[in-house]
Amino acid sequence: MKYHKRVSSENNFEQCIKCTICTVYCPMLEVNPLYPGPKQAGPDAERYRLKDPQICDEALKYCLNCKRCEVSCPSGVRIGDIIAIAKAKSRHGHSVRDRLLSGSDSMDGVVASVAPALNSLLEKKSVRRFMDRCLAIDERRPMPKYASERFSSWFRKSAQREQEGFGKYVTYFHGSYVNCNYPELGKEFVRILNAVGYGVRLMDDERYCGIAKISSGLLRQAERDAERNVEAIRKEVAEGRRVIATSPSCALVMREEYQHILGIDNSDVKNYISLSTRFLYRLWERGEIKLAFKEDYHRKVAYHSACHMEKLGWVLYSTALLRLVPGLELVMLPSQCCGMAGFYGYKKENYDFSQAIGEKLFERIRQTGVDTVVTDCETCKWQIEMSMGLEVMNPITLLAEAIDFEKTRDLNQNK
Amino acid sequence: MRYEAIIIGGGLGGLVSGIRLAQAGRRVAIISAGKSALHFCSGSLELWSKWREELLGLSESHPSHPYNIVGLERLERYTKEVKEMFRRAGMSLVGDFEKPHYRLTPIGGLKPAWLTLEEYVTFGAKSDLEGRRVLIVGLEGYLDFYPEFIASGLGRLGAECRVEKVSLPELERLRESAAEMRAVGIARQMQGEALERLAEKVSGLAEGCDLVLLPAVFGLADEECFRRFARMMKPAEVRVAPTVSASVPGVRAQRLLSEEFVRLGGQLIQGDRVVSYQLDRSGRIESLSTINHADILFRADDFILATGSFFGRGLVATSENIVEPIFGLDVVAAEAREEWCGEKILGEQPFQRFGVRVDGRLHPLKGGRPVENLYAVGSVLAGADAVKEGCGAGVVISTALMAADEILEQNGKRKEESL
Ligand SMILES: Cc1cc2nc3c(=O)[nH]c(=O)nc-3n(C[C@H](O)[C@H](O)[C@H](O)COP(=O)(O)OP(=O)(O)OC[C@H]3O[C@@H](n4cnc5c(N)ncnc54)[C@H](O)[C@@H]3O)c2cc1C
Ligand code: SF4
Ligand code: SF4
Repeated sequence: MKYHKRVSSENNFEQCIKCTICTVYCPMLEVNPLYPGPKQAGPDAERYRLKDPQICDEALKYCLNCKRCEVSCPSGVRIGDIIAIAKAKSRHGHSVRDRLLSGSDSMDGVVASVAPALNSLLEKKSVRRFMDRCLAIDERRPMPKYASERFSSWFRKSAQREQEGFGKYVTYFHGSYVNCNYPELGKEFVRILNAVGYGVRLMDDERYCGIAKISSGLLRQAERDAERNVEAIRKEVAEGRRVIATSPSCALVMREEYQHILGIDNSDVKNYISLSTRFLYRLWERGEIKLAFKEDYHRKVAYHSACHMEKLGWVLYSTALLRLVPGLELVMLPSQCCGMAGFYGYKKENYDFSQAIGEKLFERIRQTGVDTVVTDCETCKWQIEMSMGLEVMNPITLLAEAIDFEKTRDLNQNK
Repeated sequence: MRYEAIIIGGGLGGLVSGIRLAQAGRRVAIISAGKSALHFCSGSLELWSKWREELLGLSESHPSHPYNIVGLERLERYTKEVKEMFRRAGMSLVGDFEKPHYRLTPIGGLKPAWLTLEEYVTFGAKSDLEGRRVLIVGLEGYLDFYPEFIASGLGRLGAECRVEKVSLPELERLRESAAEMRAVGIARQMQGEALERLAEKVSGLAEGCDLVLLPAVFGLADEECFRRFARMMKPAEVRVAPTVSASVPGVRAQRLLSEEFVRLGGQLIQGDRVVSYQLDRSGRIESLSTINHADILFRADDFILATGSFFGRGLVATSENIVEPIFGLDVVAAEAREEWCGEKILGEQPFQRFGVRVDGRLHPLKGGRPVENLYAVGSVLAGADAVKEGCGAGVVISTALMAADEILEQNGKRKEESL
């Protein structure tokens, strides 16, 4: 398999100069002394794993794949990737549960058709207790709600026809979260893009981006989806369209991890994969689109930098875009992990660590006194909403609320 | 993305330049590939390891030293200004340019220093140690601090030293993980009851002592932690001594300076590496490309190179030569590889002085010609040996402030001309 080959020769653990800086910034190490930390679990242990790939460490399962170690490393060691690959090879953990949480595209349609029943089922104490005892999905963690109509179904039924006649197009990578849990975000994205003069397309056969599978060590399953996605993206790029996600984790995994962890060569299309706020800000900055906002808009929000936004380095686009909104008061929270890390926080063995990490962020949010948090990441949203009962918005949702669509459409002389 | 100034590198040099420019109201961004050498700060910003007289003769004894570009007058002014800058960011430095003091090294030696973080022990003169009764407290299981070495060093100068070890239940937990029994891991525990318990234990041992020394393991985020501890410790005077490996006050300095920069409106872009640049038609640098932002370029009027030395990859040693990897600037370095290193590890090491060649206004040279809207500051510069001369932070701070002032001055002139 490709990732087995890569690990022995091409990852860059030997660049580590043992400075220990990464250990200062690992959120897991801070709350869990059983975790060896990025330096030891990553480049240090890699030397031994090269000798004997069977040498593995049960404690690797604690790694959040947050990549904050990589952001801090002055030597550019791909610590998170090294750990993710090692973790996949060792495979501890609850595989039925991990597969379930990582999802499968074929199940989505079925799930949507029974969504109301499923939602109320998942809210039942007895069901949550069953999942806790038998599947090790923590009962204290509410499951994300399923939408009764998938985004992709809505798009094909109600929006596709309106996409005709635009001069310019983008392809939207909605991801499983928008598709199954929160189609509103996708609808808002389409509405904004249309207003600034862009038509929206979907990929013919979008698969899960694979972040959940990679984080759970299910690399082979992730690889299948990834290959099909890269093929599909190639087709969009060949037809002159960028592929835009609203989820930073989808963007990160398709740009970086397909290559670094799964060994799939995406170098020809990588830079055509972007994030909604980055795409919009860039057009605005170049004067290619205009945005008009409601005159009476007012909100005070705190912005939380999600780990994968930090790794992408794209926080500045989301915040620059938000700063265009008159009447928006934006408080920057110090950048730190919320503890959720995708489905990590759902796993029973992680729940307490997840909340201990999050508590430090919650404290900072409390200090700001806001009642709304803005963040790009969907799982940070679940975590902060569940733990603090605050409203958490994606920047796109906030923009959709603040934009004067009529004026914006006029300014961009739509269609 | 467009800024007035962009700084490459977010170590001490990049942050000091950035704060100065942001304070003057400039739209400025710092792009930094990783955290910096600040994490290993000994507690002192070193200016010169010997005395001031030697600095006065520097233009003759070390003609290519960066201090000669800055000049002593400015060096003195910048030393004052940086003290104020640190204070606003939440850190107190003691000492000044006129009157150096001694700092303690992790193995018990004394070295001259000008500016030291307040919590660290300093001595006005070596004779101050005569007859001092010093208690040095180690922490059970913590191996990056050497009380015995310190005791023997101070003992040689006439102090009466006693070494004790204390243990705390909060630290027992850390022993499960090799990575955490480090200064930073301990500092995370030093709050609430643990801090009180430690103060109580140490106070019990401090009977008859007039100075208590502990490892620097207090306060990752602010100075208050140590102050609180010191208040609980009265009446003995209590101070910290440096540890080896990542330093707690260093982590704090990185954090507080970064926060100050952001508070002043600066844009901090972390975990991203500048890989190339583009020129405009007149040959000025127009923009930079980074790994994360790929096809989106960073444009600015002025750029500062604060990428540090070999540690942060501001300089890279290939199998043939030493290069500055972003711009391919002219580098001062010995040609033959055998001449890069000295034979004795603690002796003179030629590579320490390798670095980028600059003109009198800190513009680096490329192909022998200064690059006009680029400035080089900090340990990427040629000419200084931070270890032998003990001038690491001094060179960084003074060149960082000078470059920022040059930019402000040039901008002022440009504005006047256009009026
Ligand atoms: C281990 C160690 C301990 C030291 N201790 C002391 C001390 O106690 N007291 C003292 O006075 N001096 C000390 N020094 C000297 C030290 O060099 C300076 O004090 C100072 O911290 C250096 O600052 P700098 O900003 O020049 O470089 P650095 O701190 O090295 O910062 C450079 C930054 O630039 C980034 N960078 C590099 N290339 C790129 C790129 N292409 N794109 C984006 N970012 C990039 C790096 O990631 C890094 O964050 C020490 C040095 C070392 C190495
Ligand atoms: S920060 Fe990078 S170089 Fe330093 S110990 Fe960690 S992996 Fe190694
Ligand atoms: S990815 Fe996050 S949790 Fe894992 S080692 Fe790095 S910093 Fe720690």
